[in-house]
Amino acid sequence: MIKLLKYIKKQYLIILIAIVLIFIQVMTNLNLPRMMSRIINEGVLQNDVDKIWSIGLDMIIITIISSLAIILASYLLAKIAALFGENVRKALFTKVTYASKEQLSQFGVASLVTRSTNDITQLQQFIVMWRPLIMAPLMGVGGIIMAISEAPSMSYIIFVVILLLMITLASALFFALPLFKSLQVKLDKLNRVLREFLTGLRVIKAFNKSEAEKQRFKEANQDLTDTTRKVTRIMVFIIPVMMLIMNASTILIIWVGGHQIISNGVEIGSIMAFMQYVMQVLFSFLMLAMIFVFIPRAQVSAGRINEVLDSPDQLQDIGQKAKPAEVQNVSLEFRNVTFKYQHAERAVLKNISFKGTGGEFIAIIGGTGSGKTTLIDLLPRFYDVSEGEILINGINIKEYSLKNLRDYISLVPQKAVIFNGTIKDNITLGSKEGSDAEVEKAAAIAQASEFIETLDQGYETPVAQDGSNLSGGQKQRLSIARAIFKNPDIYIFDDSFSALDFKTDSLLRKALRENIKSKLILTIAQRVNTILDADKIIVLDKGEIVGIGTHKELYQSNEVYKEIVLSQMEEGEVA
Amino acid sequence: MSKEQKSNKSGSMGGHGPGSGGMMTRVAEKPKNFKATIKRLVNYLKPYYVQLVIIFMLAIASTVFTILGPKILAGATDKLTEGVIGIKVYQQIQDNLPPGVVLPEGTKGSVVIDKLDPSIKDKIPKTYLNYINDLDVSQEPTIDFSGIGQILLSVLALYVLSAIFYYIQGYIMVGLTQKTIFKLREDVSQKIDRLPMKYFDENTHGEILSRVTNDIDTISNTLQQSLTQIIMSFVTIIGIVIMMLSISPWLTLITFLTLPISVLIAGMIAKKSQKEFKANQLELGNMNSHVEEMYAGQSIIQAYNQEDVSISKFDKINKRLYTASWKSQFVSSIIMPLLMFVGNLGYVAIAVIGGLLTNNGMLTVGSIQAFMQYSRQFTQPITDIANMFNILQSTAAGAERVFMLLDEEEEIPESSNPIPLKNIKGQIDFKGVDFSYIPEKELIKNLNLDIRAGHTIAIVGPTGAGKTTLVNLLMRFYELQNGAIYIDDHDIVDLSRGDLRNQFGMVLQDTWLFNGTIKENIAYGNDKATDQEIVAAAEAAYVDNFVRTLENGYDTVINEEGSNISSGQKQLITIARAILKNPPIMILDEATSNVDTRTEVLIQKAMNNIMQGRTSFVIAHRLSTIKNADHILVMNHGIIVETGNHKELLAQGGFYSDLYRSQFTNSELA
Repeated sequence: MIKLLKYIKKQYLIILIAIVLIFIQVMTNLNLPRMMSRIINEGVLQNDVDKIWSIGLDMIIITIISSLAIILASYLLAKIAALFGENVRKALFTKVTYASKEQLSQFGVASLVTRSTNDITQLQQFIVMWRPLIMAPLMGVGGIIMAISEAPSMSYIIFVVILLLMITLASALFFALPLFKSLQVKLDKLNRVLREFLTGLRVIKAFNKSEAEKQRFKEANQDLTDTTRKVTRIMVFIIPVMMLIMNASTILIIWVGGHQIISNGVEIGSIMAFMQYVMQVLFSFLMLAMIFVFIPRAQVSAGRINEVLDSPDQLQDIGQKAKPAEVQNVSLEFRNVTFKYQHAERAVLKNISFKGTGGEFIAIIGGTGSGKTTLIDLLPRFYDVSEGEILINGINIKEYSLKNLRDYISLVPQKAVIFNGTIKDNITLGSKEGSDAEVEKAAAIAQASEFIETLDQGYETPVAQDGSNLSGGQKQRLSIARAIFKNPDIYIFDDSFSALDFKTDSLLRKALRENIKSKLILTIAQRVNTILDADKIIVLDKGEIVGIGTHKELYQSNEVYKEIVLSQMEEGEVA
Repeated sequence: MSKEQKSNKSGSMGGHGPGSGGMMTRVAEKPKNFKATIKRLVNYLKPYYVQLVIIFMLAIASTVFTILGPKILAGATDKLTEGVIGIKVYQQIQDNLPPGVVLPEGTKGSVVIDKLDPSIKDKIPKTYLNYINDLDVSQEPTIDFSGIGQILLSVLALYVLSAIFYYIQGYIMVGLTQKTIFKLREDVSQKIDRLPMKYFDENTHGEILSRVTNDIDTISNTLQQSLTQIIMSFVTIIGIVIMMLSISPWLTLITFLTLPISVLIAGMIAKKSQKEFKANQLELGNMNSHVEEMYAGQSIIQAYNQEDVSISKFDKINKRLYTASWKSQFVSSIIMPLLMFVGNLGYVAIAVIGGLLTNNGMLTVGSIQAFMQYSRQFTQPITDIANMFNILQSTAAGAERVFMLLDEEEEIPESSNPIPLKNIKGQIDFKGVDFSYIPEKELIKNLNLDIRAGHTIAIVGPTGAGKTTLVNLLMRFYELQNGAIYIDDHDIVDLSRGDLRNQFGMVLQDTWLFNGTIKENIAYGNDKATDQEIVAAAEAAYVDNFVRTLENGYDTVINEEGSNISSGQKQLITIARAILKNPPIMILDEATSNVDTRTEVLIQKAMNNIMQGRTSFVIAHRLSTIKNADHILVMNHGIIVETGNHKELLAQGGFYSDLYRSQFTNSELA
């Protein structure tokens, strides 16, 4: 938490002013009981009406000052909290936007979203709580001082009462805390049992196990109910005990105070003021206890945010090189590339070497977990190689600026990413400029123009988040059109035709080959029949290249490749 | 749903800390029929009417005792004040007596006081003149500590009783609430079992889960706290008003004057705050969706060099969120100070007017003290009741959702005396079957099938073609609109669902395993299976080797997400499970679609084992697996478009042969 305070560094003066204002509010408020005591002592008991009026007037003035101070403080704190939220959010968002894929998967997208939104809101709430946080101790200490100065001989009562309260709270927490923990576990259990029941409903019914599942639920339910009952009964115990302690303390004050009137010259009004101060002290004590319940929560949120902000940047964008002007035909080379995740024991990719030039169609094939996607992710530097190097046009990709490097490449991922905006926005994503004709041409090559033109607003049709108003195949075609519109030297397709039907698939492939003849195409494929005409097929197995060649060559010489082919066909047909 | 998403959901809805104005800023959910829902909820409490009456009586008694406290306590303060004034007056009389004069025993104050300097008499508040007049001024008066002690002890007794009563009612209430909630959860669990499959097509698991957790939790909290609180708050308000009136109608009037001011201010700010709160929620929502979108597409953003664009869009939303956020925060955080301001004005007024009244003999000092205590306690129950309205609303909304689930139409009940099934051969007939999920959209029309025991039936077609529908009908997850399905000449409607489903083994695309050991999972359909049988089933499913490589072998616990075992292995375990159950009919639904092609070969082999000697249904979108089927049903858009065996269908040159060719371009392969 403290570490994050740097995001409101420049606001220290305002924070200070807010604290001073809160201080003023507390101090003025603390004076009210004392003035009331003076009304009794000096006004009522002396039968002095003028005194009553003049003290009353002072009290009103004080009340006004106090309220103005606290409203102003609230205003300042609200602004600071919002500013804090804004700044931390911005830092986090920027960090994630530029993060490497490894960092991203380390935390997970869902978790990062929670951290950027919910956790920050949590912290913002916590900063707003500074008001009671500052107020409570001031009120507590101030109350004690006022009470003591009002009737010094009775001050021990305050400490006795606080001690009693603390003992009650502590013992309740002692019994309740472990139960609270187990409550959470049991709630999770109930949820899990029910979720299993729901997700497996069909299987459960097919296996006739409904009764057993319901029994499992009942047991979890009973367990949860028992624990809840225990915890709640402890909580129910605390409330009347606290009430009793507070009420009994007023009785004690009158009794002790009464005796002190004779022996120590304590006055009646002072006893009444003392009573109110003790109440205030107890109240502020409870307020603090409540705030401390929230601190761990804020700590957790702060920890989760810091974890992201502090995670080391893995990519260094220090290259300056731009695309060499003289090169016409792009060339790509993987030279002994090995890649290992930072904390992993084994390398995902080992000693990968191959070359490609513009005009070639290179396919990568292999089982799940063979490292296909990781391999192509190295190219736009979503990850950096651990050993070896990747060269584009003879230059190590680390020597390009990230921007220039990525200008070389169009990437079409397995799962199409569609953004909120129009169809056209989604295609032009790569470059702001570009005529409508170019957009339409890209769409035509991607076999998307047909469906786009049937839409009411054509290219200006808005697309919902995640493209939920489009089919899987339409999304894939849009994302392919986006890649074509960018017009790079290297195309990467990560199994990006999977949602297309056979006809569209083959039309698209044909159009691609005709229109981007001079470009280098890297394709990840699942099914052999889609890559039969590749210039080069790279066969990956457990992170290593076990064969490079055309379909014919590989089918004859490569065991792994043959196995893959056979698993997709019966042998009789292949021959 | 992951844990994080869960916390996200609950957090973004109600992220209010103390001091932010609490309930007043929350936009409460509104139930459709508040009265009926609450009534039904109350019905759940019917078995506990006696306890409830006891609880309410105890709560009322506890409240009344607490309220009586300050008023009685005032008596003690008054005795104290009288003593103090008496001592003062006595001293002044002594000081003013001519030297040598001793007042005779039993001299009343009234005798002496008029003979003294009038300034002494002026200093005595009118309220205490009577006391002085009756006072024996011949000897130094003492404070009546025994009287005070008695009062204090009796008040203490009241407070102790109040606390005990409070605890007892809370204790009973906990038991009652938990019993009710337990029953509610059980009802839901029983209901889920009786719901037709259709319900689960239309409602996500998340929705149903949230009924059982969030909604029932809300109900639980309300029953536990709010029910008695409403009663106590009302009793408190009435009691305090009575007490205040009995002390001083004038001061009561002043307190009542501050009330409408408070209500007015609170209402005004609450209205404003609702508006700001909504604006803030809106911006938070915008922020959420932008962040989600950008994080999900982060690699595309990077690949297309869009980082700056994304950040500048973020900045705009962030700025708007900043403004909305501080405004809503500020507005809701000034409610308390403003109410405190009004409260303090009231406090000052009571101190001043109370003082004046005392001087005029209309009030005692103890009464001022008691009155102040009452007026401080007065606002709390009022805000409590106001909040209660919101709480009841959201409780009713939650309860309504739970009741809606409980009211859902159930599966058609089983026939009352089902025909017992024994030694089924596996002959299956569909006769004139009509079916559709939604009435307007006809799916299956007059389907007739004659499937002989031991045959393999393949159902093929593109994704979403409705291949699973037939299986759903066969296992009676859905009811037919017309026609009938027979198993060995028994209409399935005449069988018990359990008996019917016992005839099937299922291997689904969605590999459902529960959080238990591998052994338990394999033995799921057959509790009595011996270890040898389990191992044999695993061997037949080609998963025995894999299981033995695990550290704990068959006792390895499959974790909650099932992430410690690959999807291929999971599939094999579900096959072992089906093998162990040893049913006459087997259903294999897209069992190989989520694994890579080499694991697929293994699964294929296991599936061949399982189909031996059984009537089998194979659903697949990969055609290589079903070429040897006795009968192929080709489906598209929910309708059966072609039937026949592989050769016949290829020869027809229709949909099937298109589909087949799209997957296998044979001529090019070798």
